[in-house]
Amino acid sequence: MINLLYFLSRYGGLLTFVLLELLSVYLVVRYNQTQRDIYLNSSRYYSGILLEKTTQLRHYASMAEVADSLSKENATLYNRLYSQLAITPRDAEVDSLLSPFEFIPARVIKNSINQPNNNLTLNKGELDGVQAGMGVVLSKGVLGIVRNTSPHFCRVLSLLNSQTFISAAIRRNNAFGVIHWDGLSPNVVVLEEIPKHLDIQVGDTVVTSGHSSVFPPGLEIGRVTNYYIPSGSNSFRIDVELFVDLSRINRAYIIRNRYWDELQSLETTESK
Amino acid sequence: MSQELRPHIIRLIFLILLQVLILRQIQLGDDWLRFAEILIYPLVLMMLPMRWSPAIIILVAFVTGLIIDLFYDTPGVHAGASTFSAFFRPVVLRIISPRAGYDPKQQLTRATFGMSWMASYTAIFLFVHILIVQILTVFTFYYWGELLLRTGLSWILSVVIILLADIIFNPKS
Repeated sequence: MINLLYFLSRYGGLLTFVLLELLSVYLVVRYNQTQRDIYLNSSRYYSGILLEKTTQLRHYASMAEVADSLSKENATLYNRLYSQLAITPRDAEVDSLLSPFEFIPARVIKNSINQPNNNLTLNKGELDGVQAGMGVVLSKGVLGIVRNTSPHFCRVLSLLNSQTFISAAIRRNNAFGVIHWDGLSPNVVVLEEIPKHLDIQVGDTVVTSGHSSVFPPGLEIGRVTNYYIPSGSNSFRIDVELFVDLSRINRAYIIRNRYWDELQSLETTESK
Repeated sequence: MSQELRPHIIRLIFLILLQVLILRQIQLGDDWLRFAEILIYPLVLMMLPMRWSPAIIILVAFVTGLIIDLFYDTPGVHAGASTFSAFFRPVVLRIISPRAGYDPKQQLTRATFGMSWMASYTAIFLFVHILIVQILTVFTFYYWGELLLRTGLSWILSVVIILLADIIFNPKS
């Protein structure tokens, strides 16, 4: 201790200076409102610049991947478009009846997969025609359901959320049930309520059933990896592995049903 | 030791009281003159004995600055400036070193080294001190005009007041 004091008094001028000066500046920033505001604002300004640059860099680094997925999505859309043109009768009125679904492209600006109840934010809102209750899909998979909207953004109840229930079917035999997430793995969801007398095989493709106005029928969701009948139950419990890694998505499509308002008002009058 | 320490302690208490009870109340004008602040307490730091170690001098300066801050309600501003100028003090002393150099036993007064030495010591030391006070007060280099105005006004006034006080209260030579 004595030695330490001796050392400080002999050579500690610079050390004492640096420590006390830092302490002073800390006091200035901590206890003076004006200086505190200036400090916070300028540090936010500089950290903002830094964050913006790193984000730009990251976006640039993932550009090739984004372009790939975009071209794939384009291809899927073209396929869908042409297959529909092929079956469209010449009558134009019937055409719009055949395909009541309209796709609104959107960018994912916030995403989570590690919460028990996950939500997303997309960059399309009321001004783009988005309303609560609409479905959100990916080029190969289902993302969730719009929960609420603001003029420019919407919050989406992710498929990985205990409140999300989506009607789905096995493509091979049209056996349909309900998909929800058990909160365990972010790329496995559970398909339930398929009666146990039906035939299920590992590797079957699960698609949207079309028994709702939210999703068009036939959108691919995932593949059956495992199934069993819980004791005392009349239906299968099927593990479905998703086709898309939900942690790596950046673009999605919000589905608008052209007859949304009509269907809503019809269904509400019925329930009264 | 206590014989040697006593004048410094008395000077410390007296100048701090003078600073916080009287000089703090003085406001010279409503216009740009309101930026002028008379600081006399740095004289305490200027006159601390040369043979004290730098660490002790810096510590004393920090505590003095903290006491001033307590009354000025500017935590850290005067403490930071005092710490800095105490650290810088040996450099100032070297700049204005007399031809014969210093003897550590000598007191840093006008009586020892003469009027012109005292004037340049005060001028350089106070410039450093007041510049840091104003930088910590304004806390941005964006309004550098205001910063320079504040520093210049306070500097001229403080140097004049300190030299006058020195001449009036120590009329030895």
